[in-house]
Amino acid sequence: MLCDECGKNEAKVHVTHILNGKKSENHLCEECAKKNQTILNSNFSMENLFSAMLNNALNTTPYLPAKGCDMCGMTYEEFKQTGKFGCSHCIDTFKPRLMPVVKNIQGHELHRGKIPRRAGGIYKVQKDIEKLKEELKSVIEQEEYETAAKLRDKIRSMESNIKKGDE
Amino acid sequence: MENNGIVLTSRIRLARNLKNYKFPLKMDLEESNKVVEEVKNAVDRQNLNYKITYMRDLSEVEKNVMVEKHLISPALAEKKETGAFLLSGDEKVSIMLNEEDHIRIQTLGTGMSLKECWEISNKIDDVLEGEVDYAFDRELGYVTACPTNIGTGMRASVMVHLPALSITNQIEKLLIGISQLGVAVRGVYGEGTKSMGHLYQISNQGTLGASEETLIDKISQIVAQIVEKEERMRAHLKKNNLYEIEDDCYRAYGLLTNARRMPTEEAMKLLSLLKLGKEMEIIDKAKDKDIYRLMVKIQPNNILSSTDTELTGKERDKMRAEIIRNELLEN
Repeated sequence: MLCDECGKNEAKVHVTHILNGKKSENHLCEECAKKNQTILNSNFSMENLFSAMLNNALNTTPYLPAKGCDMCGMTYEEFKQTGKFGCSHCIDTFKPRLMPVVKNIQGHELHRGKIPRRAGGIYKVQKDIEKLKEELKSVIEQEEYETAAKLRDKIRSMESNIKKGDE
Repeated sequence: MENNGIVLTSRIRLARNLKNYKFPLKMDLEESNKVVEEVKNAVDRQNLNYKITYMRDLSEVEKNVMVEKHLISPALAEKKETGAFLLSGDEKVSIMLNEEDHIRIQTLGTGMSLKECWEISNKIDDVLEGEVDYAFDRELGYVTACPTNIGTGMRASVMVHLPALSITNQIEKLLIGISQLGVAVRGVYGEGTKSMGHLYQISNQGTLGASEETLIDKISQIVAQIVEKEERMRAHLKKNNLYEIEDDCYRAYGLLTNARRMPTEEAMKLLSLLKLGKEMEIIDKAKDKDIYRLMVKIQPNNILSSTDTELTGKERDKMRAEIIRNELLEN
């Protein structure tokens, strides 16, 4: 059997892929197999799969100028290639472009599992703050300035508490 | 679930990261040391019985033995400078540091014990979370280095031994079927879908959008179905092909107890048949022998670690044959 890739040498590496119930086979010569590490990567790598999906997603989303992550400096190009985040801030940096891909891979876009007690506490307070901010908007619209001032102070104190807890 | 020898081990792995450090992909040596120190101190402060081991202190063989025993991942073994792990006294829990994520809590259990493993992992996770700052996103859950782990950061996997489905060539069909259910299957030793010793690892593919308990229930149900298929195939073989299967198992036993040279792949195949024969009660040899333990013991690096001298491949095969003969024939 000849190599699928170059059609010249004898195929010595045979790879069977089963993905979503579809089976495909690749027969490669040693040279092409070396070049084709993605197909070959033995620990059926989700990263490679992910990277391919990201590339697909990128082709359909308009190109935006590359903006690096403020904490680790990772750019979207780099993320696309490695399929991995460089730090916890990357997730915010890339979120708009990330969400469709996450949905594609995971089939979901919202965490429903465990919430850590401490970080989760902040999460709950953040949710409360958002609610208060909306309330603030509506009371301002209704020109209830006294209530608005109270709300504003409450939000400020909650926000500064989060910051303290953060440090 | 009844432990009939088909379900061998269960494992829960939680991926966690610290908020204020770059992830292993981007971090330098100094930062990686800080991560190890921070987690180690957290565990020490709680007076937990964990022992730390640094990758840089282990030889290649020592590392690979840990991998073959599933105490650490192959990826951690490659983190020669930065990797470390904390191992609990009973060797059930391993907290891997600076693998792909800062923290990977892995709990191992025997038979179908995903729920118990989750409870243990969950407790350790709570303890660590009380001491260090985790990266957590309100929408996407626990932030992991790879988006394929995001959300719960949990991988629940079960190791199953499926010889009857394998020798009757039913396994591929089954694997294709379950890959459509959001479940990943891979060979345990060996590569890709080809498995050595008919051992397979079944785990959840998605980590986001469902609770840990829901994910565990799903895997448990799928494993229960696979076990049922394997049992049915065993009953079918016993009814319709007893003569052939008996012959296969006794031949395996004959080779295992007499051969002078035993390459890993052949040994795994024969041990798998012997295990099958014992469980189907068609062979009355090697009673009370833990065949799965022997399967782990004869892995290449486990053999290398049992001797001080360097072994060639040929010598290793000779030694493997010796170990198997001794184990199976001793009273």
